[in-house]
Amino acid sequence: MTFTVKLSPTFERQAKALFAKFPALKSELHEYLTVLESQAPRGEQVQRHRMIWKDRLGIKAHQIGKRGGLRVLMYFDGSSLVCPLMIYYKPDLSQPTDKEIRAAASELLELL
Amino acid sequence: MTAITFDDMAIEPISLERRIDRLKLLTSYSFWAEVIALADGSLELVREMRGCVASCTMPAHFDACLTRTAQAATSIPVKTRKIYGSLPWYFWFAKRKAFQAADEWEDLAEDLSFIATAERRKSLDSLVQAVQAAKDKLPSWRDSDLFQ
Repeated sequence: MTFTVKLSPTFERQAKALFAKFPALKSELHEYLTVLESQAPRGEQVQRHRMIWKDRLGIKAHQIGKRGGLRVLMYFDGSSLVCPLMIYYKPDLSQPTDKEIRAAASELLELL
Repeated sequence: MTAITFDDMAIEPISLERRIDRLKLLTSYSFWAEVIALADGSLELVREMRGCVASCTMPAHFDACLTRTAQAATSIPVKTRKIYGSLPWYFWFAKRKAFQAADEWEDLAEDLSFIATAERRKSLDSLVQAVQAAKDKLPSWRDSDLFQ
């Protein structure tokens, strides 16, 4: 089965900022999204609505392991659509705040 | 039989190898079995708990319970690493499992604290609703300028 991977505006913005910090991430993220097209879902479901997933990602070129590396929040409802919603570097941000999650939702709604 | 406990190990890990030797614990099958069983049990428990956290729908009044469990899950890896890190090298098989369990306890703490408040869960719900409303307007990652 193949999946359609669509990026949220927040994810794109956060990924761009991370590329500036970790230049090698660009190719690794490309590879990750390619794999996501054929092997979704990745990571673990976040409890409650079962549509938000969280994956842990390392950056090999920078010798950063999964545990202390990046976190990807994505939407996957069992259909063929996978939407990476947020990406952040755990040492910088242990987890997004409620305000940041709501801002990500607002950015999505601005597309309408 | 023994005058050594796992709490002792956490408190006084440096002299642990000498104490194990002095108490002739290396010839005690029950001591070895306990060391292994604790590492095994810890790994099994944390994996089960992670599965529950991912799949259960918890009622709103569980917030305090989630927060307390997250706090406990944060302290367990610290203690586990201290105890098993201080064991002599020939416990390598138990050490490996215990360190793996410690990592997973850390992940569990992270996952629990992520959903521990009603406000957080409400924010996640609004994010889900926003994706469902905007999914047709989102670009495919291959059309995104992120990789141009």
